[in-house]
Order: sequence, then C-alpha cells, then structure tokens
Amino acid sequence: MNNQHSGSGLHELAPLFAIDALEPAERAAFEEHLAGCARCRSEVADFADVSAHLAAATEQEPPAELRSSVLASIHGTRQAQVTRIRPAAPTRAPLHRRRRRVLLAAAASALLLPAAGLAGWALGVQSEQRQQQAQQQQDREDRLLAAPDLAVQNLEVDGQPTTLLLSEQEDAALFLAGNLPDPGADREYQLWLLEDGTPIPDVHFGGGDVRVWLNGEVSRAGTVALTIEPSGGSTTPTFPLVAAAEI
Amino acid sequence: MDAAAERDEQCKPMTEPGTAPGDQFGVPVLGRTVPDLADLVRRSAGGDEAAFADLYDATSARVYGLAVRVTRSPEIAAEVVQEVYLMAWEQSGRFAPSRGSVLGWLCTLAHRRAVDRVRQVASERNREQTYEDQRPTTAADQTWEQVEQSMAVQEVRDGLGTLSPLQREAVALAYYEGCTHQEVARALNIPLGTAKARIRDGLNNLRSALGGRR
Repeated sequence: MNNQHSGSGLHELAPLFAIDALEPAERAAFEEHLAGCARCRSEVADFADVSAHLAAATEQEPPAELRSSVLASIHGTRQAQVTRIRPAAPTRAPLHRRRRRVLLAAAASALLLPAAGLAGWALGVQSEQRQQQAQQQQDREDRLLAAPDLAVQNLEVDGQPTTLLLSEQEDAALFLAGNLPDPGADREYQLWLLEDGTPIPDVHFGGGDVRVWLNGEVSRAGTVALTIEPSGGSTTPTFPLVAAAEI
Repeated sequence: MDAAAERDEQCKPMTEPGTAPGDQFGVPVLGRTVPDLADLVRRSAGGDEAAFADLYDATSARVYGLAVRVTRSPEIAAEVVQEVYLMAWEQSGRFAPSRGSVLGWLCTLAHRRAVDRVRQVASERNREQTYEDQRPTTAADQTWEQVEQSMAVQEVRDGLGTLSPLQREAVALAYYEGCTHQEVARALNIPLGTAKARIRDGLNNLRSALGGRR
C-alpha cells in the first residue's frame, strides 16, 4: 500500500468506502481524494446500488409510529435548496444551522454536493460552543421525536398551518411554524398552558420561522393556547385567542 | 399466524425478480404500481410532503431493516431512519438521478449512519473493556447464517451466490455487521491485505452480477 496516496491505491478503496469498511483515517483520506476524482465518484455511486441490493435481504416493516414522527419532523423543515438562496433569517435557531451543517457534510459524502459548495459553507461555521449548544438542542429534539407517546397537534394561525409536537412521557413540547404572520409592531406571540383552567404563561416569540420549546410542565396541562401579547410577553392572556388545542 | 410466520409472509418478494418496472431492485409495494422513486424525490424537493410520504412508504422497509440489522437495536434503528429521511427531505433538491438510484442513495445514508452509531457505542465501551471483548461479537459463519436465514429475497441470494464463500463471508461481515476491513481481518484471522481484497473482489463481483441483469 505504499502507493496509497499517489492515486491508484486510493481508487481501489472505492468499494470499501461505499460500504463504510474503511478505517477512520482512510475514510478521511478517501473523502478528500473523492472531491477531485470523477472516476471514484462514479464508482462509489455504482456501489451504492450494490448496497441497496444487499439491503433488500434484511427488509423489515418499521413501526407505524416511526412514520408519523418522520413526517412530523419534515413538516415545516426547510429544504437546503431554498435556504441556500435566501440570506440567513435573524430568527433562525442554531439548531437549524447545526443540523444543516451535519446534513451538508453527509450529503457531500454521498456525492450530492460539489466539494466547493461545502468549503464555501464551512467558512460560515459557528464556534465550537454554539455547536455544542446546538447539539444539545438536537439531542433534545431527537428524544422528543423518538418518544413512544409523541403526539402531533396541528394549529391554524391565520390560515397558516403550525405544529405542536408533544410527549407527556418526555414532559416536552416543541412548537413549529413556517412563515408565521408578523404579530404587529411591539407585539409577540405567546403560548399558554392551561392547568385546570388556569393559564400559565409560556414562551413568547416573533413571526417568521419558529421552532421553540415550551418551558412549562406539559404533562400537567390540558390545553395549549396561542395569543398575541405586547413584546416581552404577559402574565395573563390577551383575548381573543389566536389558536387553542386540547392536549 | 404466529409472529415468525407473519415475518416470513412480509418478507416474501412482492414481484418476481426483474419484472418490477422502473427499478431493478423491485420495490416491495403490494398490490400497487411500483412508484417512480426519482419522481417522488423530485416532487419532495418542491416541498410536496405527500410525495415524500409515498417515498417513505416505498422505501422505509429497506432502510429500517438495514438499520436494525447493523445496529441490532430497533430503538437506534428508528433514530437512524429518522435522520436518514430528514436528510433526504432537506437534500432532495440535490439528488441527481443520473448519478445513482434513490434506493442506493437512501441505503448508503442509512448504512453510514448505522455504522457510525455502532462504532460510537463500541468506542465508548472499549474504554472500559479489554481488547478481546471488542466487536465483532458474532463469529463470521454465524453472521452469514443469520443473514442467509433471513434472506427471503431470492435475488440477493442469487447475487451473493456468485461470490466465493470466502468473499461472501468477508462482504457479509463488512456490510451486515458494519465491520471495517481491519475488524474483518481480525474476525477471520487473515492478513489485512487479504481481508481488503476479499471485500473488494466480492463487491466487484456483485456489481458485475447486478450490471449483467440490467
């Protein structure tokens, strides 16, 4: 393997790379090589078909609840194509950027992205600390989505669909909305949890793309409601309710 | 019907090999026209969630089954599936049918994620355990037997049948157990170069066998 880095040795690694059989250092070297080698890119794509063929032997129906959580997670999640065209919106959560970074890296290794695009993107990568925070967010979200009692509640706000994902077991709820209408000058949206009819103020946020966690004890609440409040939120809800749903 | 019989029933190929239109891998969708997966991805890229749901329905058994096989955990496999389809949704606009099949793309993503999860767990465990306790935990012949037993898809049997027993053993360990070539060498007690060559030659033979059917 003394010619491993001269090119021809690396070409031979394409099938092993395609089924993830390389050691970590080799994988990294091959990925670097792949960016500049059309022949290997085409080889790896060929072996992806071999992978699909081998995977046919182990087919197994996934549990039904997995389907709902997959579809819930894509609902309101922007696609890469769109987000690359628009400038970053100020409301976008770090979670989104971290996830996109991971996905871009994964997709690039699956040959869906030219290496140059990835390198350009990498210039904008945030600090380690923010990445860690984003990772925690991501883990939290993954836990919620994996909860066996995950419930998906749709709320309509001014004709715009929004989604509340909640799990009593995880005692967590995530509110998702794309393109939520502007609540008005010096106004914010606020969510409320109703415990025995008493509204407990929860998280408040602006319009646009929203991905926020509720702070309150979801497992004790019977109803969730959305109102528009003065900026900074209120301690008692301002009527009328924008939307409400039984939990 | 007991659970095992039910599984056998589910695993039966829904179409005769080679008769599924559009996809030589025969997407197992009972009683329905085999959907054009590339078209579903294209529509998903336009934000069509219903098309994406159809894509999930047509491919999730393959993605989930692979993830279960490699991770040996339905819970971790579910997380892998979640990640794979979220990636697929976000990256659907970048999928180019000319560069490979939809199933190849999804299975590659799934295998990579599943293997990474298994290796992550293994490296955490290795801090506490001795070298001998490391993966692979299953003997090579056992791996192959397990895979073969669960292999209701004649087409895959046929494909793997074109490999020599030694190649088949090495490919099965690498693919279904998620072993690196070094781990394959250790499990089979063969030199590194030999393990690499067996996996590579086995995959090349499979590729030729698949290519010949197109």
